[in-house]
Amino acid sequence: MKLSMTGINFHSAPVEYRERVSFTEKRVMKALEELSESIPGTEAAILSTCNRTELYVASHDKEFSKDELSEVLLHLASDSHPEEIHAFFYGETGIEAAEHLITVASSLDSMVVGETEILGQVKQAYMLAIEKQPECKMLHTVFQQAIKAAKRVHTDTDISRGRVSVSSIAVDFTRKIFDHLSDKTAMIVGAGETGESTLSRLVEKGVKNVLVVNRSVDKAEALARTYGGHAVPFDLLEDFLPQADIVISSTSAPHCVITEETVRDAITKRNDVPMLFIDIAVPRDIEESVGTIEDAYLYNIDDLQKIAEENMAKRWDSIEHAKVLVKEEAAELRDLFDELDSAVLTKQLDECVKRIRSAEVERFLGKSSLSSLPEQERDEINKLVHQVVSSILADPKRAIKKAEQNGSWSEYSHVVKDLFRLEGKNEKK
Amino acid sequence: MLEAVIYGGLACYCLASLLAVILLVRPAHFSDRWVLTFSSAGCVAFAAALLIDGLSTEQIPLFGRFEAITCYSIAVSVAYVLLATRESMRGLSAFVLPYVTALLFLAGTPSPFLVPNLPPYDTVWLAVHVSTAFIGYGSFTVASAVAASYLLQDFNLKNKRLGHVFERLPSLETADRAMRRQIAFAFTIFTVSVLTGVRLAHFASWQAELLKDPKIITVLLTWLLYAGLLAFCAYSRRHGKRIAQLILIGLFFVLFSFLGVNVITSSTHDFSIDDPAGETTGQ
Repeated sequence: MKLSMTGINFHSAPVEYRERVSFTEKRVMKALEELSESIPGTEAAILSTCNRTELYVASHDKEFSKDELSEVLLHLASDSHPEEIHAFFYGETGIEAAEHLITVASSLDSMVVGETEILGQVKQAYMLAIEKQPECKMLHTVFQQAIKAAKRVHTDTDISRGRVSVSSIAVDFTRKIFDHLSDKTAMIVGAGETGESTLSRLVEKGVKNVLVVNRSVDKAEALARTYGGHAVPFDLLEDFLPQADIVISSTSAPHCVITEETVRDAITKRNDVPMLFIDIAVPRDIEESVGTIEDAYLYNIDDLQKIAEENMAKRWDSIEHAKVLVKEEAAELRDLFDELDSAVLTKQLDECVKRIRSAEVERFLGKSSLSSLPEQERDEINKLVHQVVSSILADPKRAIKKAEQNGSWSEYSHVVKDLFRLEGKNEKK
Repeated sequence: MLEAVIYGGLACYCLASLLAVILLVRPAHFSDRWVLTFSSAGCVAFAAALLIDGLSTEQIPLFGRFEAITCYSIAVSVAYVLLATRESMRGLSAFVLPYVTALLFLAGTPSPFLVPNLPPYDTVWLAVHVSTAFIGYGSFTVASAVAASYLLQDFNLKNKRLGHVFERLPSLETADRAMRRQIAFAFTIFTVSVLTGVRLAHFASWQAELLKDPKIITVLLTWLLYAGLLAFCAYSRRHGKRIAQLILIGLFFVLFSFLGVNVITSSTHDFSIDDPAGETTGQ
């Protein structure tokens, strides 16, 4: 099996070039269709995310160069493109191409190392490929191994453990205080960017009730409309506070806007139902002593950033271990490649021998002296030749299987091909 | 045969406890399924041990020290397994299983025990009285384990500790809801035990002994504590850390009324001592 890949990503190219080879799901389907016509006998998959576009092509007998594939990819993406874009492509072949896919799926090549979104995107690329080419056995092997490897990397290392963005850490705290978010109320005080991003993540996670408190009623109403919430005048903050399960504060006020006393009152009114306070403002909006109140949990920007930095450091510490796992999984894939190759070679051998056998038997039985031979005897001759050929091939086939199992396949396959003249398959040495 | 089953059960519980603790503190290659499998196997082994014990003594196996502790441990295990069907509650295994394992080591092996000499009809009531007590104690214990997990998670949240323990433990809301449900269920079952106990005392003419029996006094105190706790929760609709602390305190009452009283005093509920009504030896 021959695997080749090419691609363009955030390491290799700025966004103005990446966007020229970006594919939507619909365009991926169309491109795969075109690929099956332009390079017949191959299996292809396209991975397209905001940070990368990569084309994987598997074939039984041909490896494609980076230039060949990048040309195809550019052609599939658009009709015209700047000449210098070729310089931004990278490419791999063989086991290195598979290793690259495993590295990508494991998020070792991601902008935020350890993020898990890429694994979903790799799975999506694979699903689209098998939807278009249901019989794609080679890509199936490669992608299944990459997905399995990525899961192993995520489980066995700290690469994806711990969040690394302020908003996702805040959501983590929310998850461990509240069971379901659908019946919870989130209150956002002020309208800072990080505050809004945190609110947005909470809404994504299921929060349905949103209260927006702002000194500017217009701003409050605009933000409330975005998240389907209610605007609350700043003066009524204390009155509405007991309704809020999660409070995100990010005002630009020079003093605290939520005091310990206010929170104590709110907690009492809520019968000690816990409240989460996320203070993203600098200077802080919520009095530090709020954190000492029972059933009130307060996190300020420093707390969240410190956790983010610690988690990021842990991820970096795990990278070496993750790389070792990637190598191991790629080595396993090499064996699977050999297995696929030996199956194909055995099939080729069978076909070749069958062709010779049929031709020779036909020639022999076609002689005029044998024209009167009864049908039953012709069958007997045919069977005899078949048995002789099968017996001769039994040992070579066993040797092929053994070579595939003991890891000497790559040297062995050439010998088999030479011996049986199976060379016309574009074997690349 | 009996000892082999007991040691097999203990081995399963030890293994389940070890795996549960490993899962709590660090990422592991195995899943909770193994913890649940080994703890369930241990539970089945001890249930089988009780059955063998009962068949060989031809008595209801509830009244000896081994039998009582084993029944209580099984009740705790079953309550835990039922709770652990929810994935978010599986971190509890690290609290419950080592506790159960320690108790089962304490239980030792069966020794001769005494069975109250009651008419057959009352023996059935006695079995209901004792088994409901075990189920009640078991559920109270699991509620306390949930309360402990609540307090530990509260500590993690207050101190911004987002480690593996933080991930394994349930959210505060989940734990709060689970411990309240456990307490309500345990209290109902425990009340049945208390009422059947009163009925038995009435028919066995033990009324005079009732208020002198330290076990009965501590059981009533435990019942009152939980009744008060439930009334407080229902009336004030309070949640949070304070409720978890009260439920955890309840465990000391449970342990004292179940085991402590038997260790420091003697009463009609002793595991192997004659009671005022006269008994028969079970083994």
